[in-house]
Amino acid sequence: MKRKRYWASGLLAAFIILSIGIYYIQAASSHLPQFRLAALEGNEAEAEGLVLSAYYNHDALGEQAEITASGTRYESERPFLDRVGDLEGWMGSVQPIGRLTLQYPRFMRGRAFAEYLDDEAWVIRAELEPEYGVDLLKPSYRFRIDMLDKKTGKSRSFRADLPESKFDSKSIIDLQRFGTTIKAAVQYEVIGMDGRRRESEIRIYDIDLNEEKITGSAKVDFGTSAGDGREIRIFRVFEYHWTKPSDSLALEVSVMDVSDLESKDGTSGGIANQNATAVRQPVMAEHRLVIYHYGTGEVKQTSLPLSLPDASQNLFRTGPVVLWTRSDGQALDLKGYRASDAALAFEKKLTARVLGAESIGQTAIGPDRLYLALTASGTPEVAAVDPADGHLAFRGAVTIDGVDENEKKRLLSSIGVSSISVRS
Amino acid sequence: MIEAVRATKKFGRKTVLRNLSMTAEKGQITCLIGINGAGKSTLLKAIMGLTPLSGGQIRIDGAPIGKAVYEKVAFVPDTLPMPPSMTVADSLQFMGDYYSNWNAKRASDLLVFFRLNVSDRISSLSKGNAAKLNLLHGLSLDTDYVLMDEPFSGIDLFSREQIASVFTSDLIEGRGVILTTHEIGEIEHLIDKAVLLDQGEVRREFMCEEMRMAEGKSVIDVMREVYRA
Amino acid sequence: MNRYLKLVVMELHRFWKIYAALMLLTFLSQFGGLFLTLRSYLTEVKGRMYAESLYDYAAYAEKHGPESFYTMTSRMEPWFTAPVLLCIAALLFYVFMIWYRDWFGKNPFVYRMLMLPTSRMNLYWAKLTAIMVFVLGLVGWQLVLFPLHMALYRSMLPAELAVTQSVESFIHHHSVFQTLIPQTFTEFVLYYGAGLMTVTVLFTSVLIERSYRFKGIAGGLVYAAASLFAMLAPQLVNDGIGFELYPWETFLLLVVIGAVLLALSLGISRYLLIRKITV
Repeated sequence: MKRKRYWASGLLAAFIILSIGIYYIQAASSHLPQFRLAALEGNEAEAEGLVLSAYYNHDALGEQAEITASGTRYESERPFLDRVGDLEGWMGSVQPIGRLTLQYPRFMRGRAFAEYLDDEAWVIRAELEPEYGVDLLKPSYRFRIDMLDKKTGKSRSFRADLPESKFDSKSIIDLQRFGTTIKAAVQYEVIGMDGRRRESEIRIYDIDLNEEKITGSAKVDFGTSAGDGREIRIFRVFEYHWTKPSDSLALEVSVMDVSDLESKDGTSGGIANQNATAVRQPVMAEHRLVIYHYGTGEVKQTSLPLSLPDASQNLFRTGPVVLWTRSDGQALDLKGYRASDAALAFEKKLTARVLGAESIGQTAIGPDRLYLALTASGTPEVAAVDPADGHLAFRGAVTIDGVDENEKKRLLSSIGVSSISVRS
Repeated sequence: MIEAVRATKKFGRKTVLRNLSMTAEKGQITCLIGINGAGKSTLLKAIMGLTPLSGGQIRIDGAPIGKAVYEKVAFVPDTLPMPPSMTVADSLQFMGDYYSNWNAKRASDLLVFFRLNVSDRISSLSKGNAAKLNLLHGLSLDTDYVLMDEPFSGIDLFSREQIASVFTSDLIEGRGVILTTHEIGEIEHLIDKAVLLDQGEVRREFMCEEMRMAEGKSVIDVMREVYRA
Repeated sequence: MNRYLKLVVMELHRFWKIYAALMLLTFLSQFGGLFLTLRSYLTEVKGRMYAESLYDYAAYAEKHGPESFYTMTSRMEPWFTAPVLLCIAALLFYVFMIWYRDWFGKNPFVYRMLMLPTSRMNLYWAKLTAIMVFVLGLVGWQLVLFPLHMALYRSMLPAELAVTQSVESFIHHHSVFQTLIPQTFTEFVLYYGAGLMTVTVLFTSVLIERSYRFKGIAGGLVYAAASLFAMLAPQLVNDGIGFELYPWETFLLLVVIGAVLLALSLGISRYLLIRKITV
């Protein structure tokens, strides 16, 4: 064979090895800057587990990053097997589900989106299952309960029929266990064709673990109901450890005024309607915090401030405290309520200036802290507030080591924090 | 010796070789004779492992066919199996690259004898020249046996004479040759053994010289007997 | 080994003209297209500067922002990615033609190939090697072209209008190139390993057809379809029967299935080439 061909083939092989090899060697050895969260005020230990989801925009394309006290992890620099094996990350930000999946992968397989209770003896999962009979549009529902005994590792399942109801939307919003009784809080709604909530209620069902059926139910009565021109919106107050046992259920109840929402063509406004000439948004008429005590069935409630158009409002729970926050970017109003009796425990206003920042961004809740994203001189910062009394427990800023001041400034201005989360 | 022992080959429902048994000895020129579709080419391909048999066996010097057959048996198919863009020189180089028993001296002698131009592309060769180059490839391998499928088919008279002259030269001496043809007339005087095939079966198998001596019949005479019966 | 290498060189040589044409086409379409796009962009910028009374490029960048290499290539689509897709299509076609070309024409080369005094699997390995070399060669070629394109971009655009991007960052964000040149070398090996497996499955389909003709067409298609189904099985398990596999389990299963398919394809091909192939 002509020598020329051998040489050409050899050259092609060498070219392939060199071009691809050099690319990957170079890619593996080049690293994006290592930012980290450094403490400015308070205990350094507060930064443990804090994760800032950020975007490093250095070249008009940007990189997704996670900044912690120990450094930065870029999505594009993660080894492949690391990404494939990251079960917790795969579960998204639904934190307790991620932890439970890591601890009990067999039990958690395939049924992630349900209501959970993770107490000292059991992991209990509850879902509502439809059962289709003759009328496919009106199935009957039952609870499907799965229980994992943490000590023995054995699991069991059973189903308990739910009584018929007029409500077309049902979901389980809380699960608790008291001895051999499971209490499941179910939210019912009647949602009209126009998206309006015609009726809403919360019902607590007692499910006996031995008899494997519903032995009682009670409606949570907070003294108000939907009616003409009134819509009730109920949400369970969000908490970080939403799977942990609690003896009460915290609910945010908003009464919306939906009268006079008809636009000129006669259809209801409030939802995007191409033909509507004037779409009026529903107005908040009442805003309440409602605490339901599982043991006694008692309902305690208190009024909450109404929402304002240019401010973002949130309600969080951290065990014994329910925190209401409202921020307009320059100041954060904070009210702390006791979960035991819904009474106001404290009130506080935190301004950006007091926090040493130019603006206040997103808020997030951790196991026992309220986190605020701040921006100061173009640098992302974090503040951690004690929910018990609203005091500042920690303040930290994103920084980078080993570069001069100008470079540091340039790099920090390329970082934008999109959310804060806690990995416990 | 090349042996076919009850060789059977079916293509779908059509049986092309039907329990066919025949032998071809080393040092003899054996001719497979039959009309188109009698199974001649198929048998040659089967010997070369280019077509698997449905039944029966092929043995070469007592052993079943395997990888080693290509060092022992050279096959000259009915068309020149080389890429059209190759030149004559390229094709010789190719053969030399892959066959350790390639006789380069013989190949260059045959080039001269057949008056082939080394720089011609395969695609530009006339049918006659292609057939000659094909034969050159087969004969330049130092093998014990040479199989040729229709070496004279569609070739001009002069080329046919050149090819025929190869059979009487020392290029063939000592080797076993099996060739197929349906134009027996021209080569009858060259062959030692005739095997008459019809519909995949052997009708008659005989040594030509013995037939002439014993029964005074030529191969064509026997063919008339067999095929007109 | 020697005969195998000779066959590889032969297979590489047989396709070199088309291969060189593909490489040239990629270069011309990408580089040439980029040149024209940059030139037209600069004309546009100058026009706007005049119309908006912007006195220098810095002022223009202040108002309209710079234009990154990434957005420049987006502007010139499909001329940037079309040649890549054409190369992929051409090579996919050649996966079949590398076999069929030996059978076609009045000089069927397959006779000679099958009569070579070497294991017939060497023919198979040589063709498989050639295909992989062609594929990886184009990947390498693209990796060489990127810095060239970026150099053109930097040389034609004033600094105020340009954004520095690394080749890595560009590839990582591009919908087509992030698949062809994955993030890590591990993934590169996995993706192209899967590609190799796919080629062996297709080769097996071709050999089934060449061994059994009419029945073989159906057989080849069935084999290819069954292999595809096997690779999709983990996902179908997840979507169909609700037994959810965790990502690492799906990954492991895919690796195992891929390895089994590779071994099966090689085994079947070997059997067909040695015992069943017919000319």
